[in-house]
Amino acid sequence: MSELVRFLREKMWVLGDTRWYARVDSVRGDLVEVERLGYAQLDARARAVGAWLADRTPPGARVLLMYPAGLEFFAVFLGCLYAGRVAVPAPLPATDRRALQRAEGIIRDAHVGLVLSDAAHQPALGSWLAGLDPAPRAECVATDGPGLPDPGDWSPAALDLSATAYVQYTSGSTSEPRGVVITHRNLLHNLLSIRETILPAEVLDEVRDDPSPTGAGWLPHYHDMGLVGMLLSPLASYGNLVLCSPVSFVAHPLLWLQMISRYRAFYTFAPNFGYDWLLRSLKNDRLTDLDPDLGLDSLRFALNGAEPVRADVLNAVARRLAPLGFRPDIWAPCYGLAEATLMVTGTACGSGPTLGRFDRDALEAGQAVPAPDGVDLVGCGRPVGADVRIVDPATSQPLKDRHIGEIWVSGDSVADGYLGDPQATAEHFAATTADGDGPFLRTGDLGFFQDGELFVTGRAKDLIIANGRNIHPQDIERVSESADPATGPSAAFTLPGSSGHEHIVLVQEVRPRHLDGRTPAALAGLIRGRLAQELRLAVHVVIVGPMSVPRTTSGKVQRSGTRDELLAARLSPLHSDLSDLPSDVRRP
Amino acid sequence: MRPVNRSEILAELKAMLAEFGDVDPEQVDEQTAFIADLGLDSLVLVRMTVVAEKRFGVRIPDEVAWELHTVGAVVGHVEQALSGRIGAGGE
Repeated sequence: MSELVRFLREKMWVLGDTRWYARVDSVRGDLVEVERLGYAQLDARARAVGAWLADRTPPGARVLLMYPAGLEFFAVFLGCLYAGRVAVPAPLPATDRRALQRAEGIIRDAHVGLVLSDAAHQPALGSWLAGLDPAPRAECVATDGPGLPDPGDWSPAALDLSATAYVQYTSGSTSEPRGVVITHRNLLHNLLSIRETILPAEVLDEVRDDPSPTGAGWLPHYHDMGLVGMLLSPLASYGNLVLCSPVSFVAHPLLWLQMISRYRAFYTFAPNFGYDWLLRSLKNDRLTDLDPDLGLDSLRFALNGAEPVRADVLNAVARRLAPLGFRPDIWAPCYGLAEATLMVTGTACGSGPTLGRFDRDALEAGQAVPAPDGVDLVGCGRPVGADVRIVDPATSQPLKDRHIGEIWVSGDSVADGYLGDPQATAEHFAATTADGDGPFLRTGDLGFFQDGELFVTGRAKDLIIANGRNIHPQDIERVSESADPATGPSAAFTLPGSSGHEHIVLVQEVRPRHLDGRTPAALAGLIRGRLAQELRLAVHVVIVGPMSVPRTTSGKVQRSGTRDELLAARLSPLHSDLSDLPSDVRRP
Repeated sequence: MRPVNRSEILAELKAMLAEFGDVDPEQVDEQTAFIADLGLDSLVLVRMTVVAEKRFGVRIPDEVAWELHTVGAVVGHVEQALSGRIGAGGE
């Protein structure tokens, strides 16, 4: 049994069914608990799955987990850990139209031989698998029917901490999935680091002796924050968890507040977009009119991470929820990425967020200079059991406090690399500073330190973040460029709007000979329609003449260069969807 | 009472767009596309789909919802489902 498995099982053995995981849903506006498993029940279920996998698959086999939100997924994930099989969590097609395309890429990329799901989804997944060309040798089996062995049949696998625990598919455009290989050591280290950072010793003691502390959330389990932060963390810190599916939250945002209120949750967690969606959807309704029993005074911390943490959203949520007992000092901003298992920096329960104002021009020039009328930035806390450096990305020279550079990370939470991709692994996981320290993970994110606290100022190059989706500009460009014979090369990027929401812009070169009498505006309309259908994205299309999009010497389209040209009004568009919102778009 | 004919379904849909998407009903006709014309995001669409199922008393499976790009397409789907040609269901 690996140390990680022992660590997790020890909690279940000691605490038995005094602690639990539960899932709820919204039925006619009311919260209804639909399933619950105590720790010991969860452990028994995981052992049964572990015994079944040991009998059926070779050690280290990769198993794709395609489940709806719920406890079956978690039991099967634990079963994979128990058996020394490598879980690969992936979304079901219901949540994302391209999920099947992505899953096919993963099956081929990770040489998956077994797809596990529940009885409700197994038939459709099975026929999808059978219809793939070339057909993979993978089969799909449901785990929630009869036929699993007795939990007593499971025998612990001898596993070193260096063994792979699971593969977290993350960044990487749709056509090129990229799986981060997480070891037992990575996961154990990150779980312990999160616990130590977020829960000061006295809080942890309190939680250990009290069966009631509960976390509440709705994150997708196939993302790092949902898997490690939502599902695994309670087990590591002796807590309960109440969850609902992401779709239930999006459709019934009030359910989030009802979960916190009904279960007296002491913490919750979400990326910025979740808190923002709550605000947008609650509008002007009086919260107590919606549900007179709502109360959030049990909350002691609210994690905010996985996306840029926005000061205006923190303030607006705290103001909006104040009548229910939400206090602004419970915000706990954090920063992390799947390549470092989950958390890299975090804020301790009780210490409150650090907000700073910094001069905009100085920030653009790479320095953080406090200025009373400057840009609001939120500190993302302190390193979580990791060595975090700010490094000049061009010279690899470490930078001093208040100087902006790339965020580099090393430590036991940093993964081994990307599955089957030595080149990308070498590019991202093997950086050395100019003074010879390393290896570091290059996060691609920009930030600075001030008094030991990390402020993140920019994100991975070119990545577009919309409502919790990470969208690669090349996916937008590919759809547009294949939409019509009249579309040539293009560049996609975002422009900040005054409301805080970003506009996605596509500058598209036209091939005039293929317009066949259509106007550039008509072509823009066609592209907007295709992007809406294929990617479910609203994109502002700007049509320009041939060779108008700036390129590198090697002919690669320059997205930031195109953005600068557009903002400087040097593009002379043939058509622009942006013409009706110039006052909304401010210079970055 | 549940809306039954095309114009009632359209009126209800316009009301939902105003409620959940802050869209001016004057701006909307059957040709209007949710994302390409109104710029609605995926969160608003997911929420509206779930609410529409309940209000109209019909099922809108995910794979169908993905293909309903315009107001008219939704009106058509709901109308057909209510008249039993697709099979009404839901609550």
